[in-house]
Amino acid sequence: MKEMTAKENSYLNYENQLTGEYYEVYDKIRTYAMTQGGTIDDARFNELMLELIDLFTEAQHRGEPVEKIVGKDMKVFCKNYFSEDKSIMNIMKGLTKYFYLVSMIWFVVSIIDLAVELGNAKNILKIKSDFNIFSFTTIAAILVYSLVMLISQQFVFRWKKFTSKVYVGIVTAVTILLIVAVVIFTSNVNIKIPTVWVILAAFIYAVCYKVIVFYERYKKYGSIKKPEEERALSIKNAWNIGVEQGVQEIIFDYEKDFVRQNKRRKKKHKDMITEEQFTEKVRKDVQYDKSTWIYYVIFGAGVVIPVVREILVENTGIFDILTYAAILIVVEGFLLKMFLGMAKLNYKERKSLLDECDREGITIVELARRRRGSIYGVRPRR
Amino acid sequence: MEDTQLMKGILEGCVLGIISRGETYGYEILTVMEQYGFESLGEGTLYPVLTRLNKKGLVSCRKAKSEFGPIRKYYSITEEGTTYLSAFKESFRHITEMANQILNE
Repeated sequence: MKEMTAKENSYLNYENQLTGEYYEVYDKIRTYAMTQGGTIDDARFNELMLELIDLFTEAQHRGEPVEKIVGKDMKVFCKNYFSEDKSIMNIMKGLTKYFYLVSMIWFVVSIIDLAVELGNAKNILKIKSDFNIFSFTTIAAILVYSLVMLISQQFVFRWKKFTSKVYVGIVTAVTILLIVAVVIFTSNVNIKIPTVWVILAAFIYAVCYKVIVFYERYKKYGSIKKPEEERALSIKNAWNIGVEQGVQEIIFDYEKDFVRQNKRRKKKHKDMITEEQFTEKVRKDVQYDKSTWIYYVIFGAGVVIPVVREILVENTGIFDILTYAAILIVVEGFLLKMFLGMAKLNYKERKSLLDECDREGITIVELARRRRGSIYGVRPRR
Repeated sequence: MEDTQLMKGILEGCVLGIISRGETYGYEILTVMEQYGFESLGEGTLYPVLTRLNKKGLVSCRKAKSEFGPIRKYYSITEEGTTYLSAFKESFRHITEMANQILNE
C-alpha cells in the first residue's frame, strides 16, 4: 500500500469535514486535550484526533446524534478517551524538545554574536553575550504556560464559548505580555556568558537530543529518516494545510464580499451590483494582480533601509555591515519565501475559480452557492 | 444499580470477541456493542480499551483512508489475542457459573 503523505496523516487535513454540532463538540474535545499540559504525546494526540474525526464524520454521514459517540457528559468522555495516553513522561519528553528548540535559538544567536564581535575582540574567549532576556523568557514561559493551562482546564466545560481559537488567542496574548514584561523587568539585569561556552553547551545538548531521537526512530521504524507520520506533526505541515484550507475559503470570501458590497450600496441608496458585474471585477483584480510585487518591495526595503541606516547614521564598519546584511537577507528571505508561496497559491486558486465559472457559464457567486451545497471536500462556513 | 465495575471487567473480552469475528473499526464496534445493550459505551470507554488491547499485542491495526476521507484504524485479532480470548471465555464461564450458584440459592 502506498505510504500516506504527511498531509494525509495529519488530523488538521480533515477537520473541515465536520459541520454544526459535530464540529462544536470536536473542537471542545480538542480544546480539552490542548489544556492538558503536554501530558499527551504529540503523535498519539494526532492519532486520537484522527480517530475522533473518523467517528464523527461517520456519525454525521449517518445522521446519528453526536451523543452516540460522546454520551451525555463531555467531561467524562474526554477523561475516558484520553485516559490511556496521559502520562507525566510525556511532559518530560515535551520539555526536552522545548529545551532543544531553545538551545538551537541560543546556538544561532551566539554564532551571530561571535561573528559580529570577532572583528573587535582580541581574544575569542573574552567575547560575552547578554542572555538575560533569553534566560528569563525560557524559565518564565514554562511557569506562565503551566498556569494558563491549569486555569483554562477549569473553563473548558464551564464556558460554552471557550473554543480552541479562544485558547490559542489567550496563549498568544500571554506570550506577547510575557515578552514585554521580561524586556521591561530585566533591562537592568545583566547575565553575560562567554559566547563560546554557550555555543558549546547548546551544540552538545542539541547533538545529544538528536542522537536519542534518531535511536528511538530507528527502534520504531527501522530507519532514522523521518517517516510521514512524524512529518504530519510538523509546524510546516500544519502551516501548509492551514494555507490550503484558507485558499478553499476564498470562494466563500467572494460571496461574503458580494453581499457586503450590496448592503453598503443599499444603505447609500446606490444601484446594487449584479453577480455578473461582480465576477467581472474579480476577473480584473486577478488579471492585474500585483500582490507578489508588494512582497518583493517590502523585502527589499527591509534589507536596504536598515543597512543604509547603519552606514550613514551608525557609521558601522564594512565587515559588520556585511554580516548584518547577510543575517537580514537570510531571515527576510525565509519570510519572503513563505509569503510568496501563500500569494502564489492564492492567485492560482482565484484563477482556477474564474476558469471554472467560464467553463460552467456561471458567476462566481453562483459557484459559491453550488460549493456550499456540496458534500465533503469544501465545508460551508460556520 | 451502577454496573460500571462489572463492565470494566468484561469490556476488554467483549470488544476482543467482536474483533475476532473479522477486521473492524471503532464506529462499527460501538454500533455492535450497542446492539447487544452496552449503551454507556458512548462515554469514551471503548477507545482506551482498544488502545490497551493494541499495547498488549492482542490486536493489530492498520491504517487506511475511510470512505469519507479521514484515516481510519482497522483492528484485527492476533494469535495472542485469540489465545487470550479463549482463556477469557473459559474464566467468564467459570465465574458466571459460580456467581449463578450463589445468587440463585
